[in-house]
Order: sequence, then structure tokens, then C-alpha cells
Amino acid sequence: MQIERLQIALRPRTMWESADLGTKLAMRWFPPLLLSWFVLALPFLLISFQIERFLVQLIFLWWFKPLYERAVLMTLSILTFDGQITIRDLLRGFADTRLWFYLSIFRFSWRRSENTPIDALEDVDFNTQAQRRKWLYARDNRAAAIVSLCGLMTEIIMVLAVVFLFYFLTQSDFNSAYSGVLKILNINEITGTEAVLLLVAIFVAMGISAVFYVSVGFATYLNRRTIKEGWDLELGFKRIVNRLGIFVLAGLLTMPNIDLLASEPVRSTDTILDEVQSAPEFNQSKTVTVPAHLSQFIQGMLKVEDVEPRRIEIGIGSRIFAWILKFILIGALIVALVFFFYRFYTTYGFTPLFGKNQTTERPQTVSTRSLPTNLIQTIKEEWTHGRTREALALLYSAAVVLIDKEFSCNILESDTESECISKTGDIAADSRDAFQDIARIWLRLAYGNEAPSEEIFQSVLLKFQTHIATA
Amino acid sequence: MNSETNGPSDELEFAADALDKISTSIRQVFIGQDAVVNDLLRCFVASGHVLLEGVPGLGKTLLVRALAACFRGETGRIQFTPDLMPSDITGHSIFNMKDSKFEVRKGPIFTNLLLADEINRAPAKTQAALLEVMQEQRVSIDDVTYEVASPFMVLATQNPIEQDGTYPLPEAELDRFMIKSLIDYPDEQTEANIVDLATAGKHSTSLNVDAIEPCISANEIEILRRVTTSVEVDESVVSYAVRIVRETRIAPGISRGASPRASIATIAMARVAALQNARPYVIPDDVKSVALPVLRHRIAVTTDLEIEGQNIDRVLEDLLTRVDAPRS
Repeated sequence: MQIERLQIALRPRTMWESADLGTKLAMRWFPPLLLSWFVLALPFLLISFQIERFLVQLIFLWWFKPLYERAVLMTLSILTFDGQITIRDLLRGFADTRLWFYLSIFRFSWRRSENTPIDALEDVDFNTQAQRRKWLYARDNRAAAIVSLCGLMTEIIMVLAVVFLFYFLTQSDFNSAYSGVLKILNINEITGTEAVLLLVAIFVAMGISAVFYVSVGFATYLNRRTIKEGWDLELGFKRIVNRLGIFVLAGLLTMPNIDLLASEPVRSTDTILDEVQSAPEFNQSKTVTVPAHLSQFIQGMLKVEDVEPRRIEIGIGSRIFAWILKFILIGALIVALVFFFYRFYTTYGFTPLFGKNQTTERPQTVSTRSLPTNLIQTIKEEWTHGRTREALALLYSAAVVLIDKEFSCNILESDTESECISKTGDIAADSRDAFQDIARIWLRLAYGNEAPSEEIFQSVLLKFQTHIATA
Repeated sequence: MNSETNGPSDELEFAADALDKISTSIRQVFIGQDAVVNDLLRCFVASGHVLLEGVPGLGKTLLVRALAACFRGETGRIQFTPDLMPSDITGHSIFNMKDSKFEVRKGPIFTNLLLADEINRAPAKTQAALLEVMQEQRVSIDDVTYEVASPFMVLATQNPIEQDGTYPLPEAELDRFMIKSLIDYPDEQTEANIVDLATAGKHSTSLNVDAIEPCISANEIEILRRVTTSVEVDESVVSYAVRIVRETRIAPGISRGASPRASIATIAMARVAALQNARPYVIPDDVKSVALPVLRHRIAVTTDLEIEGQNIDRVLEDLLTRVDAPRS
């Protein structure tokens, strides 16, 4: 790489500063980066339209993301080093064998953003790539995970935003827009047009987030190389050499006897050194008192700061603690994701993965109840044996069921006695009166412990047989 | 009204008659809000406390004064503000320089009916000052416990918690309110009647309760409360009430269900509802009729349902259709 052609100022940066730099790079060259992404990703979008199932379309489009990102990376690297974008340079990024790993077993790697520059831009063999990754990101591999997480979240938010925006701009009222959004997010019932809309929304979101995702990964990569390989120092020395070269040339040109020097006999370097060291001036010493503030200033000027971040040796206990903390954080992330998907599924009415079914149960009507075949006989037997409550409970329940079946009163299992009487207000007068009598004596017995007399019981039973059971 | 009754039948008649008279008296001035009057009366007889919710100007203070006028009771009103201190409610002891002794100055809580206006404007510490008196009917001032007047009831009003400068009521305090009643705007004809009544032959901006004749004494209210406790409740009705309350804990769409205190309140309210119908026993309809005011402040719906615009009453009505009524 020709670092002197870099379009950015090199200096050791923190993780967050390098992410910030990546964002600025993406903003500066957003149009060409996005265009390169679209050129490569568009065919995949068109192919996905030919797939029948929406979920497969979605996975297909999403799976080849590392491929589209290579185009962005190559474009960005060329622009950063002030180069000319050529098809040959762009294609060079796809010759890497590791790309196929990213499209298969490493597809879910969350360090893709910072590893890809090594694989795509450094012309080294497979094993060296692995060693380079390990060395370059040793003790500083947090950025990639955070960037991946942010990228994922940004994509989700942007997809939702695009869908919301579409519906809120195309629908006349809020309710229609809201129900449209809910409908499109229910991928089990998605229609063809909605699938196309959602895929396009995902496509746009993936493209926009990919530009930032790749740029941040690339900036992190540059920063790590600056720190590890001293790119900033190298660049600084190169600049100094260039400037000194000009001064030396200018000095030589201004020397009056430059041709005389060339005519003197050539002496060896050792001879000259011996002459200088044997001269009496060479061994003379002189003590100079420098003011304190000047001394501090000079020391400050001469002080060379560590480019490499200072390493702190940590004990085994701290390492174990760090590992535990790491696993807890990863566990928390997994739990958060599972919770997010669970809430998403249950909220939008999909079949819940586990737990209680949130679908509201429909109230049951009493007509689904079964009654004994010899109903009247059973009621009489219960009454005769002194089981008054059981007899009247059966009589009342049977009356409710039969009235509901015959007159379709839509009596529910949750309906109380008064509600049942109210719902039977419009049925035939005889049946209604008979039912009301039964309900009243049932109320008195069941809740007031007032058993009806034999005559009353026989009377309501007869009404039941005549006006309800017969019907 | 004769406070000495002879048998259960007389007591029942007396109770039904008294409840009807109180209800009629209140409705003379508090027009067009029959459901609220009904809820308030049931809660008062069941020795509970009421949480009222409604926009200002719907007659909450009038309601309290009207109820107090029915039994010549005292009323108190506390306007809750962010700087209100607990001692402003309960009272405090001060040093009397003349006698060189501490003397207790009782707060406004020592009354029959206390209107705690905009209760959620005060911080939790001050709200908590009401807890002891609401539950125990007594107040502690400087380690001395004082009984409050009998009958005693707190009627609290609250602002929607989305408003600035409000503190949500703690769940423990919410649970101590037996019911939450909603006062809505009156319809056009009712509002016209209210205006006529308030302005007939005088310059006035509100109705007054002078027209209400006392129809019951404080002692008779105690008898009324005693009669209420004798109303019979069948096991199947208790089971029905408990099933409704338990359903709030497992029903989809409800993030916080009601406590066992809700089951107790339901039965207590249902007993008064039975008495209003001169019935010595509770039926499932009584339970169902009091379920909404008893439960609506004790449950919280999930965010999903809130986003869908479902209110608590709607959720509860759905819930009631899923609980089977007793049939045996």
C-alpha cells in the first residue's frame, strides 16, 4: 500500500475514534460506495423475486451479503488511497478464497467487518491471513462485535421505517396504515405485492447499513495497522525525508565551490574519522547552564510517546473474571435476541414458540354441552332421592341448553341467570315464561337455600316438558 | 327511621329501604351519574374507599357532600400538592407555651368522608400517610394512636399519570381502594337539567346540598353495615368471584393481575348489591355487576393492548365472558 497517498490523517486512535472515522469515510464517499453495492446486489434481488416462498427469498438475499460488501470494501480502499476505480481492481477482492468461507461456515461471524480487509486487501496466503488477524486484533476485538450488532439493529430499524413510511404515505388514515404494517410483518400471510415491498425495504436497508458497516471495519483495520506497524511514523519520516531532500538540494546548489570539492582527492571515511577524533577540539568539554523551563521544554520536545497502547499485565483471577463477564454478556445478548423474537412472534399473532397462547379464546356457547339421554327421568330420580340441588341444577342447565339450541339465543357459558333470562326475552312466550320460572326457583335454591315445594317443582317440570323439552 | 329491627326480614327491608333513600337523596343533586352513585353507595356500606377518576368539574366534591348530608356527617377535603407533608394530613403535636405541654392538632383526616383531591400530585411518602387510616381506621401521631370517626371513607381523585408533576399511586395503596369509579360527562339533557338546577333563582356556579334531608343516622349506617355482613353467599358464588379474579392473573393482555384483596372486595360489594334488591343472598349477577369497579384499578394491561387502544374495561368485559357462570 502506498500510505503516502492516503486521504485521511493517520494517528493512533481509540476504538470509538476509528469507528467515527469509518462513519465519516462512509459519508464522504456515500454515492460511489452505495452504487458499487447496488450493482452487485441488484441481480440477487431480481433472482430472489423468482423464488416462491418469502422466507427463502429473504434468506437468499441476506445470505450473500458478504459478497456485496466486498464491492464496497474494494471501492472504499481505492478511494481512500486516491486511486482510480477499475473493474480489475474491484474484481481482485473476489479472488480471495476466504470469501467462500464467509458465504458458508463463517456466515454468522460477527468479526467480518474487520477481518475482510485483511483477506481481501493483503496479498498473503491463507495461513498468513490467520496469523495477521490474530496479531493485528490481539487484545482489541470488541469493535467488530459492536459494529455487527449496531449494523443488525440499524437494518431492522430501517426496514421497519421504510415499511411504516410507505404505508403512512399511501394510506388515507392511521388505522389502515397501522393494520397494513401489521399485516406485512406477518410473514405467514404475506401476499406477493407485500413480499416485494418488504424485500425492497430490506434491500435498501441492507445497502445503506452495509456502506457504514464496511467503512467502520475498514477504518478499524487502518487504525490497527497504524498502531501496530507505525504507519503514522513511517509517513512522518517519509515526509521529513522529502523535505530534507529539498533543503539538501537547495544547499548544494547554493554552494560556490561545488566543483572544487569534486576535484579534491578522495579520502576514505575511516581516515577522516581518525583525523577528527585526534584533533584537540574533539576532546574539549564545556558546561552550559540551561534555564529550568527551557530544559523542560526541550525534554518535552525530545520525548517520544509510546505509539503502542501500554499493556497491563493481569493476573489469572482477573482473566477468569474477564472470561466470566464475557460469557455473561454473550449470554445476555442471546437472551435479548430470543426475547426479542419471542415478543415479535407473540405480538403479531404468529404461532407462539412456547408459553401460553396469547390468542384470545372465544367464549363457549352452552349448546355444546351434552345432556343425559333420559333427561326427565334423571331429574325426577334426583328429586325423589332428596338431591334437590342436583335435580334443579340439571333442570336449569338442560333448559338453558335446549332453549339455546332451539331459538339460537347465543347463550354463553359465562352468562348468569339474569343474562340468560334477558337473552330469552324474544322467544315464544310459553317457552320464555317456563324458562324464567325455572331460573327463579333455581336462583332461590342455589344461592338462597330456599327449596321449592313439591307442587312448584312438579309445575315447573311440567312446563319444562311441555314448552322447552318438547321444542 | 327506626333503628331497632326485629328479625332478619325486617332488617332486610330496613336495609333495602335505607339504601334506596340514600340513593334517591344523592340523585337529587348529583344528576345523571346513577352508576357512580351506585358504586359509591355500595362501597360506603361495604366499608371501603373509592378512587374517582374524571375530569374536573363533574361534581366530585358535590358527591361527597351529598353523601355526608344524608347522615349529617362531616366532610373534609385535602388538595394534594407536591409539597404536602404527611403531618398535613394526619395532624401533629405542637408545644403549647402557655401550658408548657405538647398538644395534638388533628389533621383533616379526622372526619367522616374525606375527599383526597388529586392524590397523585403528592409524593409517595405523603400518599403513604393515608395507608394506615384506610386499612386500620386509625391514625398514629407521635406514637399515640387515634381512632377516626365512624363511618369513615376516603374518596380520592387522581389525574392521569401522563400529566406533568404527578406521581403514580403505589400498588399497595391502589389495592386499598375497594373500587375505582369513572365519572364521565353527562349527556346533553342531563347537563341542561344541572344548569337549571344550579342557576334557578340565584347566582351560583354550583349545586348545593341544602335540599338534601338527612335520611339515616350514623348509628343506622352501622346497622346497615352489620346487616350487609349477614347476607348469605353460597360457595359457588365465592368460587365464581375467585375464578374471575384468578383469571386476571393468567389472562392474555393483562400484565398485572388482581390480588386476593380483590376477591374479598368483590364479595363485600356483591353483598350490598344483593341488599339493594332486598335479597338475603348473593347471586352471580351481583358479582358480575361489581367486577368492573373492583378490578379496573387492580390490573394493568400489556403494552401491546395499550397500543391497540384497548382500555381496561374492555379487557375486563372480555375476561368476564371467559369465566363460566355457576350452573350447579
